[in-house]
Amino acid sequence: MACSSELAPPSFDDDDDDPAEIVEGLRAPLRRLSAAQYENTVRAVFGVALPEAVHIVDGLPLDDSSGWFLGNAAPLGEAAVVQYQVTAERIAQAVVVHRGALAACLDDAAITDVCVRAVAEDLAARAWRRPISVPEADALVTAFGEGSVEEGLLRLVTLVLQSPDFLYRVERGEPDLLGGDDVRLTGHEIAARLSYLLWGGPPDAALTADAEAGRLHDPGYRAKVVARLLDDPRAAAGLAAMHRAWLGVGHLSTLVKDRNLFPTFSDRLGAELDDELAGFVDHVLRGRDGTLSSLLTANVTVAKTAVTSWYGDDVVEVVSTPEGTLPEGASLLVLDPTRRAGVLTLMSTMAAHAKTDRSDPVRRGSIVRTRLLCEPLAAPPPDVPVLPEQVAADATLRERLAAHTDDPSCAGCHRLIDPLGFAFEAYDAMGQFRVEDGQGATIDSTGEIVGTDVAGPVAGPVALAAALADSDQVARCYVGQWLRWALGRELEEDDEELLAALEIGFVDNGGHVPTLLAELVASEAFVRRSIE
Amino acid sequence: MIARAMWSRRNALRAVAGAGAVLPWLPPVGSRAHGSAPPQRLLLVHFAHGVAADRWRPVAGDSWVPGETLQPLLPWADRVTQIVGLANHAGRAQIGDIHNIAMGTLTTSTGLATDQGAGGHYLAGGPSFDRVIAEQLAADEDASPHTSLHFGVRTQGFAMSAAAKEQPLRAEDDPGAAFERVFGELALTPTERATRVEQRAVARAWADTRLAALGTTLPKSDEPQIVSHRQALAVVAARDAREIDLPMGCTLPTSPPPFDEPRAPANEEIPALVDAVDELVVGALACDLSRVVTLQWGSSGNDGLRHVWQGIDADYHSVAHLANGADPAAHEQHAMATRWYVERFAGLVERLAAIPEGDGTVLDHTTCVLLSGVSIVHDLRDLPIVVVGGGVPGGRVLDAADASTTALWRGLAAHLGVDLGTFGAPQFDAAPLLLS
Repeated sequence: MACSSELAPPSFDDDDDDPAEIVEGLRAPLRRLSAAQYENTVRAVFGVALPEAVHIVDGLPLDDSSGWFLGNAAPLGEAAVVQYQVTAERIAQAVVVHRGALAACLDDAAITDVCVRAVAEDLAARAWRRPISVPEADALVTAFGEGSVEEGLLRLVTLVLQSPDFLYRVERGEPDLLGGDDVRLTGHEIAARLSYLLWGGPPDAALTADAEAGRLHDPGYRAKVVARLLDDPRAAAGLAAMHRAWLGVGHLSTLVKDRNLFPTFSDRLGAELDDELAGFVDHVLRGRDGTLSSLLTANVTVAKTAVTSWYGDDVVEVVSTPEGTLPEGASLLVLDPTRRAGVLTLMSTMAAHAKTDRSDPVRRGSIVRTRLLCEPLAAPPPDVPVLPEQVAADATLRERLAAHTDDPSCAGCHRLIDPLGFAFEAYDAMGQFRVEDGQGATIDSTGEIVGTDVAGPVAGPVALAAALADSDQVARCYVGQWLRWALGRELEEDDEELLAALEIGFVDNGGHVPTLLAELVASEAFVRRSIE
Repeated sequence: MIARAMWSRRNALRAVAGAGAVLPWLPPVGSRAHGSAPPQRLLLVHFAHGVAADRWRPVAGDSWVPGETLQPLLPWADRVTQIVGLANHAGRAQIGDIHNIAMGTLTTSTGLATDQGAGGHYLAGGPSFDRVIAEQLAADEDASPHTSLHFGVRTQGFAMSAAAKEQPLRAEDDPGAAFERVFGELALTPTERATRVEQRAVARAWADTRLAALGTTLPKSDEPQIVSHRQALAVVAARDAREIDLPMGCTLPTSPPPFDEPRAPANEEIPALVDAVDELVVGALACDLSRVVTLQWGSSGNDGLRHVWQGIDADYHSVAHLANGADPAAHEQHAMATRWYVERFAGLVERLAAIPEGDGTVLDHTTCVLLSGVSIVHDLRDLPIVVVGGGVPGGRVLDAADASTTALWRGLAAHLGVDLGTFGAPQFDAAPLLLS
């Protein structure tokens, strides 16, 4: 599905702009695997020995965030340690039952020392994303013990999964000639950075082989690896995770709406909306031209049955696609280009950024202002009254909001937020397109972009999306979001040189996201770590 | 006086099998001495969406005379303290989704660290008072196996408790899963239990050794993660090494009935789920499996729950918005719904009062708090709160005079012999309410 042949190699007019020339390592906190990364890793390690019916994520500690993005660098507490213990035991119990799928020799009547050692070494190496030393292998075999295979395997699996080598993205690095306050990451650590960035999961055998052969220290080779990883279906999960966090829609799968207003809303719909967001991002970035412009303007979506029915007559065509190119049960839909344009106008995004019973222009406008334009907003003053439900009996939401924000202390921010949010008034609380509000008043979705490189009035959400797609500010902001995602922290002064180089490259390359990722990964900073 | 005899976990298997209470032919092998002082516990019960104010308020007078909604607690009048005038000022100072704020700031007394919008998508700004208390009580050498337990019914991710900033402790809504976690291991044979303990010890020892090794090679900035992980391992190891001794009077619950979708149940299933979870709460307290137990009924959000089992077809959340205003039908429905929860709470109190412990009952040693994170129309002032049992003097109304929630949490901590220390947002700190 993806288009490795379309991936242009990074090119730079001026060596000063070349991310590969930036050799200073960046600060990288010690991070735990996210819940999704944990699940992806154990499923990769155990394969069919860990049945899909075994729930993983539910029992894990919740991820902690750094800004909008995954952080997981906060210190662990006792409750989290117990959650890791219980989850490891649940996985181990399932693997013990299906141990023959892990290694056939585990089903033998008399298990041999050779079998135990081979299983222990292979299991730990894949779970810990690095080779195992002989003393480590000896210790794992000892832990397996001389008792029953069931007890031994239970001990081995629970030990491997509670080891910091599994739970953390350990990056000790290795000294190199540059010295100073940096270390150069090992090949295996680079492999893990690559796979968790693009797949949200562990390195595969090919990436591990690249690491062992030392090829990942070559920036040009890393750029080629990006093409391969993006060509792999596992990239869909990695891209979706980043865009969920960026757009603040991580709660879609547990979305709640007022069932008095939306009687056919079901818990299943939230999961399908989450699938829609993931499917759209995957389709645009790996199946189409891979540009930010398409991400913001393509009048298509990838939806399953329930979401498709909610789109109603927005759907102008159901596109026939080769089998296996879309998630099971999903269709590629072409949507009315006067109603829908890009990721911001998807039902999933609009439903996520709304109240349970009505639209939320302030929230929708804030998302654009902060996450697409990278303009921080001051926190609202304390004791702001809630939005009055009734200014006048027939007041529209726009009018009620105006009454709310006339206060000079509020106006400073709301004049930047609300005109953006009003452009999304064409979508109700579920993200359905509408021409009237709940009281029968005609929807006014005119808005305005204030104070950016594409400032000016916009006649609704499609026009707003087009303007944002033309904005260099949005493009540069998007690059910064990827860097935040990759580093797992807010940006700092030391990041500015790399960020600037990536921004220039991204704009010069027409906003081609795979090329941006190749440039990021090819940078020397990507394979180094500050140890100050 | 009823002596507090001890009962080893070996007996637990028979209890799960329905043997019930005392099995006198099995020798008591518990580690706690006969007649040792019963522990103090906390049960925190939350219901969503506030109250119909005029039905909740006590009748004016010197002693406590319950309003209509609280009538089910009348048999315990001399043990009930109704608190009025307490406000969640930390929540009031924050802008965002009021449902998230109401729930996520209630027990932490500090603003949310993250509010990602409707539906319980928030992260607390600090630890909740119940967890702070629980960790101190768990440090006792005679502590329970679980630091705290968090049960719920259809809570949908609205976490009332937090271990620390951005570390929510969400209630377990599936009674089957909760039973397995809390009571399942008690059914292990001594051999099975010893094997489990040994396997855990091996895994922890490995993790600790590796952390120690990593600590010498990673940058200094990674040290907090390494140190806290090792400390947490040590706490869990110390607790795991203890014998689990069950009090003689406790009856372990049987496995709850299966539910098709326990975390997203149909409206009609709610009463049965509440019943099932009540069993676990009573069992956990009576068997001293944790000194702090929380129980959440409902999600606190706009989730479409309807009290159809009471003949109320309107959704509870909308009813809460319409009550206390110009809609008398909604007001009546809201009072009915709240009273249903009060009846359930009274049922819990009654059951705890029927279980002997030490020189009294489990209720005597369990401070039970019933509260909601909002009062009327999602307001965060004059929160509805009653306290029963645990030796707290009753038959009275305490006026908090618009004090912050911290006043109650400090008061409860002091009653349980715990000092909360620095807690909550400093600007909303308050002197403890005098409960004892």
